[in-house]
Amino acid sequence: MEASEKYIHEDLIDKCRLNDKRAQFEIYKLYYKQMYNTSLRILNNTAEAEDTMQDSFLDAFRKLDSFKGDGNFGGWLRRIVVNNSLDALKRRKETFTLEENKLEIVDEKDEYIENVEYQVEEIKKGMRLLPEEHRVIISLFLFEGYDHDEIAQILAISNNASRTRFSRAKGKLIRILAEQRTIKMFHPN
Amino acid sequence: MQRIEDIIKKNKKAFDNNEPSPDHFDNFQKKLESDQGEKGESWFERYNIVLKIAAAVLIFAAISTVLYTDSFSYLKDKFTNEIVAAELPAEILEVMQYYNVIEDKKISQIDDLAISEDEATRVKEMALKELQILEEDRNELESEYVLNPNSERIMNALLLNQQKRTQILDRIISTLNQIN
Repeated sequence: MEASEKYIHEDLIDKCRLNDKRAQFEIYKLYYKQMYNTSLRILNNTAEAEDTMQDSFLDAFRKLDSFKGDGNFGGWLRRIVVNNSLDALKRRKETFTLEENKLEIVDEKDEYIENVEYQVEEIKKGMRLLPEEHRVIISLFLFEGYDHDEIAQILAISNNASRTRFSRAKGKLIRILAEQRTIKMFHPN
Repeated sequence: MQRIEDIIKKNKKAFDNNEPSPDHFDNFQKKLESDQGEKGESWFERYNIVLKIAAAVLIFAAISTVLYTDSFSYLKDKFTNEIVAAELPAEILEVMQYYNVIEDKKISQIDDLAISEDEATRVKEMALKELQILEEDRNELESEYVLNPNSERIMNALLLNQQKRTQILDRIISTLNQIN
């Protein structure tokens, strides 16, 4: 973010603190797309992601006093979106614990397959096909840029568990991508 | 040949290109308005109850035929301005001070009009209760103001609170005048 852009945002944020509806809407326009995509990757459901993203903005405006302005507003907002998206996932009946047992171990073959030049759309499709837990850990680490300590805190797991989950999830993603390519080779249309 | 990590890192924008539904701006606008509406509504709802209670007290005072003699000075001590200067802007403090002077005058007026000690005590207790509710509201508003400095909504609510206190005293005076 450039310095001038940062200043404009800070000005808007100050107005949001005063409950200025117009400023709040401006902030929404600036950040909605990133936040929607963050929520969508975790939830894998467009309507739910939109709802969660919008509610997260409202939460953020209510909690603005806890944003000290020393960090990055987008990062602070993203954390709210991630937490709310994870809460929405928890409300679904699928649980992380049940899926833990289904996890597959990444093997040598996966590392080999990784050396294929994947296209963006293939990866996006692969993400949609991933089981929930795998999708969450890949989203947090690769897309949102959290490190394993942060993920451990967000998901209330250990740093090691985060690393293991990520490794398995990436293996699974690679396998899905390979399968998709094979299907495409035999059924190009 | 690229790794998944590199592809994602280099094409971050391409991965963030999904758009919400076409009417998401309208939907958010509605949510924003209703969120703020709810906050306002709860305050006014609560205020209505205060006004109803105040009206009930005034009816009681009107029925009562005995007048008051005691002094309302402790009410003055209790309910005149205690706003912390450091927490409110100067212009608001000025207006609050204005209302405090008006309150002082009205309390002196009530002192002059009251002639019976027993009834005066009863009415004072009830009035105290009403003013106490407004006082609690004011304390709450002040705390809210500390959390949301310069909030126009809270400043207006504080002024309204002060005005209502004056109105209650006015009605007591008016009732006493009618009885006299």
